[in-house]
Amino acid sequence: MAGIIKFGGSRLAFAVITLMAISVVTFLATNVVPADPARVALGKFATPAQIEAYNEQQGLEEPAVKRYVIWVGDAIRGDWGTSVLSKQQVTDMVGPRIGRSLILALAAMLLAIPIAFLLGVYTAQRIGRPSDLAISTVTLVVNSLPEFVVGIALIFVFAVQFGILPIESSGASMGSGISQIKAYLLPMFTLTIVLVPYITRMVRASVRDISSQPFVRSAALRGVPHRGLVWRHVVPNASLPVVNVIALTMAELIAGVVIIETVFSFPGIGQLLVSSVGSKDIPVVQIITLVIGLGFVVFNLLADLAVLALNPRLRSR
Amino acid sequence: MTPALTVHNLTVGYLDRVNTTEVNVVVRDVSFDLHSGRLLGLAGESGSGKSTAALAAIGYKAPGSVLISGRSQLGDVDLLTTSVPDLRNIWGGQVAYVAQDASQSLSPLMRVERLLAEPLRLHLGLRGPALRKRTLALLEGVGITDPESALRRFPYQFSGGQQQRIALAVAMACEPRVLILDEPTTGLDVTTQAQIAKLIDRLVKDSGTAAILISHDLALLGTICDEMAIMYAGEIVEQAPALANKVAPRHPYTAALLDAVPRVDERGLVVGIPGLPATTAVNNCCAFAPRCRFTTDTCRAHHPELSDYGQGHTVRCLRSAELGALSSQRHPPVASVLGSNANTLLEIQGLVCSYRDSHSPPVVDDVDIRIGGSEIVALVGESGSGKSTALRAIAGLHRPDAGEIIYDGVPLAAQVTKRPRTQHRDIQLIFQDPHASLNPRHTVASIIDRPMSILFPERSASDRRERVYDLLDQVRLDARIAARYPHQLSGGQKQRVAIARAFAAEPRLLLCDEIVSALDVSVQASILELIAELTSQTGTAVLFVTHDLAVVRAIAERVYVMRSGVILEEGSTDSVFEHPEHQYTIDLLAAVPRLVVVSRD
Repeated sequence: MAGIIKFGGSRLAFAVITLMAISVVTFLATNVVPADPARVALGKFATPAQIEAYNEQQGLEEPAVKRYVIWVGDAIRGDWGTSVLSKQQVTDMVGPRIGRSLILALAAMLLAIPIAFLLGVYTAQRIGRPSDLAISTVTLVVNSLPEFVVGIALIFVFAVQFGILPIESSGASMGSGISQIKAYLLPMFTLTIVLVPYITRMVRASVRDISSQPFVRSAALRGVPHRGLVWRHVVPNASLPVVNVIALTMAELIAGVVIIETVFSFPGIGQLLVSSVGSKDIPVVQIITLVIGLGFVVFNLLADLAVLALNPRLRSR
Repeated sequence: MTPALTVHNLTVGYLDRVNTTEVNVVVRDVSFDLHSGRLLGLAGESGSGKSTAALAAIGYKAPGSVLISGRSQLGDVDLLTTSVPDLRNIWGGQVAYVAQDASQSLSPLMRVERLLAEPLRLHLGLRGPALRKRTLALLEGVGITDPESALRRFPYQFSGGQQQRIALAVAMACEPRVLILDEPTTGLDVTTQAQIAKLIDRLVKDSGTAAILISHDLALLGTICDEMAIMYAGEIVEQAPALANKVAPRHPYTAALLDAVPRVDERGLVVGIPGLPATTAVNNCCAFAPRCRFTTDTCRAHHPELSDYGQGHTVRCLRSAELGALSSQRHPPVASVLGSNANTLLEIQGLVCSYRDSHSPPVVDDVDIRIGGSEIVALVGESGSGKSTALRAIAGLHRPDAGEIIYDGVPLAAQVTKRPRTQHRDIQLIFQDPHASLNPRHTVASIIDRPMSILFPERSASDRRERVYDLLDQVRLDARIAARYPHQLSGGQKQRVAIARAFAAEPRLLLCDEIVSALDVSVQASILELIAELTSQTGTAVLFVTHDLAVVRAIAERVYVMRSGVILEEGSTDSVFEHPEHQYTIDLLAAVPRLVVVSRD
């Protein structure tokens, strides 16, 4: 038990340090880009006096360290500032989008994991046979396709050819329940298709590796039927390394969300990030970067805890 | 009485890795009977086919293996023609298997309760309280204290010996008629090994199961088995009843193997078997002919059949009738060089070592060791005794907490990097696993040349090359090996290269860390012979760290017995082994199985 607390504690401390580092880098990066917030806010016809007054009012003439401390303090307290461009509260702009992006990513992941496990375990039983070769080839090809290609292909098939799903997903934030759900489907399938091949390959390799362990032969010689062998002895052990991979993939997914949301005009944080970078809306960019960093850290932490829960050996250490 | 299992003419091959249409025969014409309540010992070096034969006999086909012929009769059922789904009803029920390393053979994520319950559910359909009662009884039967809490634990939470007890409980769960024990005591400490052997003996006698015990440890087999079979190149070459710990070998291989096994109760150097074991069955000649000291042209031209010498003693040798009982070839005791002990080369005083991240007591606690000028000194102890850490401290690989290491009158620096070159040259180290200690990307020649190029910069390249070939010759390796890479060599050859590399530095003190534990007995014997010969030529002193008491008896003049970081007993090997004083030494020596080799006609 002491081991768990120690392990959990060190991971938590590490997560906090990582977040601190992300916030520093984000703050520095958004300060060195050639974007004058006053220019963005007041437009190109503002006089130097107006700009100076704006900078003073916003505290932009304070030293960088002080501004950083104030910014981080405010962000932690939930005061995310106002958009330079729309003058809206950043909380109001980003909040609902976080929920939508999270639902999109989690739904894609929850769909991808069982599919990948089934395919991975199935192919690992048939290594070298035609069905394994076919599945392995297809997953390799899909794995090497960029997300937007998959997205456009799905749009072509389901929206253009069959017309059963909306061509773009701006409807995810409005309209009836059914139409909202429909707006989620195409970006979700796209992400799933992007995720499945990689996890499948990991599961296949891990199952193959565990299958040759002596304890599997010993179990077979205890009369354990094939199914029991696979699902009781092989898969639980094989899933340990895969859990870490899933967490890293999940982190990768956050980056994938930015592209997918843009392709589908999905009203999530990715889409907002892209448009805010374009319009140099620094407060929004800063907060979204922090939120994505937080997601990254949280998923890694969850993966560590999942491994801890699955592997008794780590728990006692 | 009808046997529980009758194996007849079992022949098994493996598909050739390169040419998959070819089959290499690894088990040929193996026949034996297993009787209820009796233990058949199956011995042989690695690659002799003993495990393959035993697994094939219960119908298990290893990946890539091909059953060529044979019968294995369990009651009315021939296990070799039974389909795998039907075999699953037999495996774990009527036939059980215990693998070598229990930590590898019990599913790591299953609690003991689930591991035990699995065969009981599958084969006996037990559920609920009946199941629980039976699992508790099984754990008690194998001597697990507090079975209630043991059920809730995972395998890794037990020691190696306890894990093997649990594996035995799982195997005995459904009261099998046939039990296959595949090296169940290998890798365990000597006292644990003795306990597990005793448990196996009791389980077999009490349950009336018919068992095969596979091992490379002839003494162990001789002491607990009712019958022994020796395998070589896939064939049983000799089979005889084991009577009261006595063996009377008639096959030259058995005799050679017995000469190669070090014994705690007999002083004298072991004799290695020249050459490497054959791993596939040989046609048209005797498989052992290339390594046998009795080989004639007939042996090279004809394949021997088993001949029966009565009382269940069969031998596969063309000359066994004419040779009769074979006598031992062991060397007379090495005369210890007088005065070698007189001058002190290395003296350790009050050595204390610990590991930084553990709060447990020091692993080496106030240890004093003295090594004379050209003495072979053994440091013996079970795993965790701190013997290897002490050796690492001498080598400068572990920084001691306290104590002095005085070499040739001068205190040694704690870190090897702080020591002068002359000391690097004088003190050389050989590790247990030659595979890990040889650079895989260097040829044998450059591996042996390396210490010379660093330690003797004044030597010319051609001088060094000449010396490499001298050294290869000294460690009895063919000069052609110089151009090879480590992965192209056998384990014994690699260890010889490691020895040649150590002697290339012309050391005065050789530190050996379990250098023969990973090797087969015949190879182990020739490495021990080699070390004894080289050190007697060069006058190099040796500190030999090992867990194997018999190896100590074979090679060392003096011995230190270590447990939990403390030296318990010290003295000349003969006096310690013949008149042990500390209770621990007495227990250790008592735990080692002993075999008496008799010559009889």
